[in-house]
Amino acid sequence: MTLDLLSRDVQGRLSEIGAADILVGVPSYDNAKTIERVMLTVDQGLVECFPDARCVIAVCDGGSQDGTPAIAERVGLKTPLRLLVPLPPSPRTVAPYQGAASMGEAVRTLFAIGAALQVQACAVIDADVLTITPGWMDLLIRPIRDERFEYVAPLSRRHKYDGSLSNGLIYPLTRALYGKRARQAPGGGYGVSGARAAAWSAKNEWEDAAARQGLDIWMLTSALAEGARVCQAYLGPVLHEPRDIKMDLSAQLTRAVGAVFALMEHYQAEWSSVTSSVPVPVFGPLFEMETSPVAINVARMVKGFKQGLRDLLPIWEVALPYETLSELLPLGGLETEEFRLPARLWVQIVYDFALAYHDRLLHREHLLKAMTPLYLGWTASFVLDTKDGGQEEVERVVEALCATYESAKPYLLERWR
Amino acid sequence: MSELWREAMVEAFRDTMKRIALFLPNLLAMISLVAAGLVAAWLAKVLLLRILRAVRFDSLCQRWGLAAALGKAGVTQSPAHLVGRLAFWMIFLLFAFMGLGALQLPASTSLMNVIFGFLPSLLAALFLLLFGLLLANFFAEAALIAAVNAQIQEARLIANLIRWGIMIFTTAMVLTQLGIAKEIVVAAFSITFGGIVLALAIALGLGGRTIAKEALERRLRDTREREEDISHL
Repeated sequence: MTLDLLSRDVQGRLSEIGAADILVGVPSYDNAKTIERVMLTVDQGLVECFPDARCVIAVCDGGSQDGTPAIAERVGLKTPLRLLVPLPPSPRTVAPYQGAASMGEAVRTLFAIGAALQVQACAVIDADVLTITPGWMDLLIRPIRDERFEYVAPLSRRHKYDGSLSNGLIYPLTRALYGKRARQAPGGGYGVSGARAAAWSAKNEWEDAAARQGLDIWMLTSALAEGARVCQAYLGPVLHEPRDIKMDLSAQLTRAVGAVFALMEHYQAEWSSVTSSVPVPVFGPLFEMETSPVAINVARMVKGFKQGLRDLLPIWEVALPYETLSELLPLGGLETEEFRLPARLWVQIVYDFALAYHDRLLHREHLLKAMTPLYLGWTASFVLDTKDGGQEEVERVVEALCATYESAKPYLLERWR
Repeated sequence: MSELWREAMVEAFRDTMKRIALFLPNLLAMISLVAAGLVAAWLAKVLLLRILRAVRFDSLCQRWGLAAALGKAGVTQSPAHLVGRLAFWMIFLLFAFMGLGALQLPASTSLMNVIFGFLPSLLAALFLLLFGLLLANFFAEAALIAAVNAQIQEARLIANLIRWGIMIFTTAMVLTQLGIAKEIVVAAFSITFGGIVLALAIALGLGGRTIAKEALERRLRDTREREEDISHL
């Protein structure tokens, strides 16, 4: 199947290459500033960590206008190790894809290339990552080659309040549903076994909302739900080249939570029988990260919640049952410092919105966007609860929240039809 | 004399009986059509209700905001029941008009022509109204959520302006479709719409410069604040 995804030129190039052991894919779009460094670091990592392996670096470009493909073509991959060890040169393939919106298509193409080359392991690296080190290749590929894992999810140390949507909703919900404690972080890269990459490239779900809106979420959830062996790798601090276009919170929430809810429908048979969670193996050293203080306007978050309570109540009434609403309404009268949205109530809200999404009680995009003030309320409460503590305190609160999600799962199951 | 009187009486009686004999089948046809209409309308209503329940029409209407709009308009029945009743009356009236036509009275024939001539426009107008209502609800809800998420305090005002703007536009289109005071409706709509835009422009230009400036400054300040925020994903 998957060869159909590739152009004739690419297929010809793959025939020349024949088979390979490792594929590192770099989906790119207007990454002229960073692509060279990323490719050189990947090349160095491959030569250092897998000197005996036949490796392929594939750049999948989505129609860049800043000369990214030209740079990718001419990057001199003359790494010192290649000079020292008689390795075959790392062949490169440039397969075009259309724009940043088609990231899924780029990744699918890379997986198809992996399938065609019959690789043991694939790693996909963001073309705009600034903090990549050669060691990433080892962390993302070795668990697949040596330990037979099928998906290596990235893990990174971040500011204690970064990723609050992941901490407050995506990670605990995914953990409660599928029973695996694997975090979802935009980590700069991930690893996939060759067999899993081939299976995924042959799937028909790449055009579904879940894959289009949250590719990372889709892959991790698919791996967990399909019983793949999943592990995580600490990649250290992960920083990306800043982009001019920044998605607002509401849009981010709609995409990410929409992907999780859509996958709940797809995998309902798999998650409905899960009652507890187990940790997944973690590779790599735990990096302690120096974090600079960030400005968090809790008052604005509380204000956003209160405005939602005032203006969006008719919409919330459709999604939330009376018991949930009756607990929410008194929060509108609290001052910022005393504002708290209890974990149990937040979990109930998330489950109620998941049910409303499933039952199509409202237009789905409207429903997800209407959740934004509630999320702001929870984030404000989370920040106020942990403002005096460090990373450990945040972890403790997230762990307690995860336990609440797991203990409240019967509430979801009873109402899910 | 008595012979003439008897002949006139018999002639009148015969004529009346002949008229009655000619009219009776028409009357029976009308009664039959009305009765058949009642049965057909009732059957259609029951069937339609079952289909609408099977496709969860009420939930769909709730999702589209139609149920809430009907509720606000004082309609307490569920949308599925409403559609069922509408179907019942449309089919019954159709049969009733056919019955009237079967009487073959000059007045009823011309009435039938008028009604059947008007029916396509009426149906088109009904669809326009329904579509407009759905569109108004959808965009008002989208605007309300977007404005609340942007923390614009006048969110409900913006949503209501959008809702009523679309509803006024729809009403104008429906009246034009029905051919009711076509020219007046178009002129009134153009004058009202143009007037509102002009009034807003003048109001903002003369009296609201400071407010507009402050609002823009506030928006820019908000953007700067947002840039300092944490990454949520």
